[in-house]
Amino acid sequence: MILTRFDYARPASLGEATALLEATGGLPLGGGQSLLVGLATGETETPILVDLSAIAELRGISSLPGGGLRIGASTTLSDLAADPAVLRLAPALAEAARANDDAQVRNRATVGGNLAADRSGPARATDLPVAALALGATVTLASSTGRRTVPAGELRTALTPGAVVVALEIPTGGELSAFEKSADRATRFPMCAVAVRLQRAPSDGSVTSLRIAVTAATPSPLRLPGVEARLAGGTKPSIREVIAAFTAEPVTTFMAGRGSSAEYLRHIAGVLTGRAIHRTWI
Amino acid sequence: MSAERRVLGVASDCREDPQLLRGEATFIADVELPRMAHMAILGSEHAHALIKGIDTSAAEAMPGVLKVVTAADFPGVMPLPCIWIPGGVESHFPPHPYGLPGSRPVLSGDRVRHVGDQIAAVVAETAWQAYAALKAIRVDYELLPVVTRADDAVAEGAPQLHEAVPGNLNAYWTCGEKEKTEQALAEAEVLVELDLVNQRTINSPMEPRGAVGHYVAATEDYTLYASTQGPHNHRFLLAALVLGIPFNKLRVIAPTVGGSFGTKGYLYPDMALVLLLSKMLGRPVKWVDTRTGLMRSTVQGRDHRQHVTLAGTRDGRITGLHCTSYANLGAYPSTIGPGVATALMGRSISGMYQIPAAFCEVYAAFTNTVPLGAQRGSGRAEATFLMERLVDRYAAEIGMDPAEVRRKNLVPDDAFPYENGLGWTYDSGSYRENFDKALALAGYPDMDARRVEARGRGKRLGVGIACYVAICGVGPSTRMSQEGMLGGTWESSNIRVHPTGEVSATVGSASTGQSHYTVYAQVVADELGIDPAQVQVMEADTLRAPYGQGTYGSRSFSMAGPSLALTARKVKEKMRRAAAALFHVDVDKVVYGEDGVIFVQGERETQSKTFADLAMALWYGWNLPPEIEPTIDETTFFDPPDFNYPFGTHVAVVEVDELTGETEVVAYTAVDDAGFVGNPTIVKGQIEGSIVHGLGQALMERAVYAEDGQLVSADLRDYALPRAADVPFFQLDRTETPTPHNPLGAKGAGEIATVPPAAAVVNGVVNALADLGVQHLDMPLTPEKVWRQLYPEGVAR
Repeated sequence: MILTRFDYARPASLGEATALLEATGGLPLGGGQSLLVGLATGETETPILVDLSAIAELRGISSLPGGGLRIGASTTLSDLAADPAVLRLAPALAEAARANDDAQVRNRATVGGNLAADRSGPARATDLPVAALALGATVTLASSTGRRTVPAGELRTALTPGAVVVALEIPTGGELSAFEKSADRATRFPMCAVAVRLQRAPSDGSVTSLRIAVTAATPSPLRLPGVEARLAGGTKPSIREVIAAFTAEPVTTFMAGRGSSAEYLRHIAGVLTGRAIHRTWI
Repeated sequence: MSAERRVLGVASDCREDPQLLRGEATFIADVELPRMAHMAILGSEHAHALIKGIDTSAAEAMPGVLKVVTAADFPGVMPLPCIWIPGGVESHFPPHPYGLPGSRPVLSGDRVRHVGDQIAAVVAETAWQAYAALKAIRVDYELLPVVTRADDAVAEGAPQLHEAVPGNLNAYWTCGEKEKTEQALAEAEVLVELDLVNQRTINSPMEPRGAVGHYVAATEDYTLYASTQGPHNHRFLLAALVLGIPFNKLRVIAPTVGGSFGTKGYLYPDMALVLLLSKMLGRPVKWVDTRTGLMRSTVQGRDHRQHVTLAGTRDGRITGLHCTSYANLGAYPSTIGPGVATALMGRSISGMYQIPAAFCEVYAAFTNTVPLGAQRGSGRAEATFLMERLVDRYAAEIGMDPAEVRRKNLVPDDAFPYENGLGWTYDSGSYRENFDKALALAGYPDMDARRVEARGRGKRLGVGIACYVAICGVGPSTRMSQEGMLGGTWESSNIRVHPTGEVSATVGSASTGQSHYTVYAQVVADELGIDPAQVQVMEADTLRAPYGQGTYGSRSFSMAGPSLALTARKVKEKMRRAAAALFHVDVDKVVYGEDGVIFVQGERETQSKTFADLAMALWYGWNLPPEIEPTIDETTFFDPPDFNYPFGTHVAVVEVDELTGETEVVAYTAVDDAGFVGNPTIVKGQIEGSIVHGLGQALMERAVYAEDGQLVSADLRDYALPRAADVPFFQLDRTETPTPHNPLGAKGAGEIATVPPAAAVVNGVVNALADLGVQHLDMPLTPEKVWRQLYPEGVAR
């Protein structure tokens, strides 16, 4: 039962939406899959919900001029997971979109909402940000003061009150990427999720770059340069070697929660990363 | 049982389904009455505290608020009673003015004993206003020390909950033979012991509870609509033992009820509150719980801490069984909680096995947690868990195949009726046939090959067997009185034959999703030789049905079903007598045909009447002799000679991921024996649901109370329930051993398959880890708990 009273608006333009958010201190509404739960439990209160679904420029997936993809914030997880271009150019992102295993939620939940709902720790983080980070994506935000584009890893700090996600931009070079998740039993949010991106030299096919990002088991979506360095060198590591590369990280990098220890989550991050690497490094 | 049944025993779709699937069923939240107001209840934020004061003035001033009440508003209202106490032993309860065992007051006035303990209620024009006003009630608490574990609660110096209950001990209850068992343990060739935690679980029916009270001042009649599985019981308890009003002034109606798992047979404060507030305000009052409200006030399940010991010979013969259990009753005795935690658990611990010496002692204790009650399979699941864990531990100790140990100790077919030495007399069984069928279906002999194959995929495969006997069919009233039940436990039915040949059957049970209307119609139609479509079934309304006890403990088909069959036989008998009078022949010359045609023996072509013909003739009442009254309206109150004892064998095949510790149940075989089955479709659904329920406890469910008594797992984000993707497709089969204790040969079915899965899965996981020296793991088997066995210092061993 939703106990707080609030108004509702569905502006047709981004300018109207950001002006309204600025004027009222309200909250933007995407698919409502996190926000409405918060309103029902009383954890979230707002004077007004500003529904973004009528804003045309937040919709759709398109190619960027220099290659890469622009994914509008109102794109649903279902559409993202099934998009042929995303599946080909950024499979980690499609897998992350599919990782919420409730079809009805995927049909409602939006890219912008999933990025904005991301919180610290097991079962509070969302699926898309870690994939965006591994893919080297950027996020365009809008507020009443204007627009800016930030790296995916800086989204949490950049997403200040009144700001809305406009689009997620994925650069080229994400064809060899994968996402893995260990879901919390109750919520199906990640207990730990990882994404990897592999790049090969066009000349001889040797692996030139391996990006690894982890979330939920860490306070925020993080790239782990230490792990990347330990696994660099162009030789395909065994899963045990990947686990060892994680075990060498300080346990304080990881975050206990929901009954799981940081030590276990560090290990799981290694297992998932190993599996993701083995799916991409063929 | 007859092999030619045409209607009963045949699988069919359920007549309840179309209404449910179309969203047209009326649940408690759908009940709307004119001028209805809405209630919300304030639960305590603390687990144990004195209430120094309550200020409701701000709440009373909130928009739409009609009334705010606290305990002070109900000085004449009696506390709720407890009606199933530990049988045959001294026990201690909060007081009730009639000298009965008491439970909790309608609202707690000077002290709260668990988080969610009901303190105050608000009635407002809308539910929104009522819930909003709760936040404005100020309660001045003085915190008291807290105890949440039963073993801690009975220890010296523990915080005390009830003045009338010294040492928090509701009862020390025992069954079996203490000295003989101690001797068997002392003389044993092999002794195995386990410390077990059968963790508390939270009942999670899809529909939380709710109630609507409607008092009519002009006639002084009360009507309670409630999500109840026992409307007649609730009527009796509320009218006679709480409100103190005449029995015939209270009508209780259960609308469609969306699941229960045992929770909705209990008496709760809200049921009295909506009636009392309706009278105060002169308006109907409605209350529907929230999920968190349910988790903080509806009875919870399991919660035993046990030390268990098994004695046996080196060659696999079990010689003794001993159990010491600390049962956590929660803050107040729920309506039947103390009986569940003692007799239903303790007398069941020997399972399918012939054990010469067995003993169980239970310390039933109060703690600062939500009151304990039944959860599907209650008592029997806890008993089965300890027995089946011990058998596996014993088999490992003597190096014998756990299947072989079980076979060696099964109660043999020629031993029935079998006294288990703990107080139950098993009615009938063919345990060996059942056991062998399950192991064959599971492919038990091929497991070694599957282990090797799984290992190649990075999985450790384990197999777990669990056998069970689950007492059902409560029950024989006198026998239940000896077990501490303060009330009758018979079941009733009535059949009224209408002039046009349709019939209406009313029954004292109350479905919470068991498709009673479908299977009862089958019983009646089968007996009378008519089409099930001609049979209307009604239950769950005290005005409409004869008295009844309700639906619990898998009793409906084996209690109300036989009652209906007996009533139908009375109908047939009257039809035959009427036909004899109309044909001027002796009644023993009249045959009631299986097709519902009643005829003079040998004269079917010329001297016969259809069921409808005779129904009309009896309606007119013309030319009947004086000893035959017009119309047919027959009633039966069925009280069986003893309980019934369904049983079965389950086999879980699990795979433990060597890297993550995650457990997947990859195959699950269940061969259950519920005696005669009235509708295999319904029972299959119940078996499948039950297995999922049991797997939930094994793998993920756990009520978590913090040290200060806060319920940490108070919503479904923090309390994991199994989803479809968490379970495999099941391999199901049945054996069918009828009970001699009712005319259908039916045994309980609805909850029985919830009893063994937890044991089967834990046995399977321990089996998968056996080479690492793992002897036991507590539920739930979370990935990290299993991983700790694989990686003792965070490093693979």
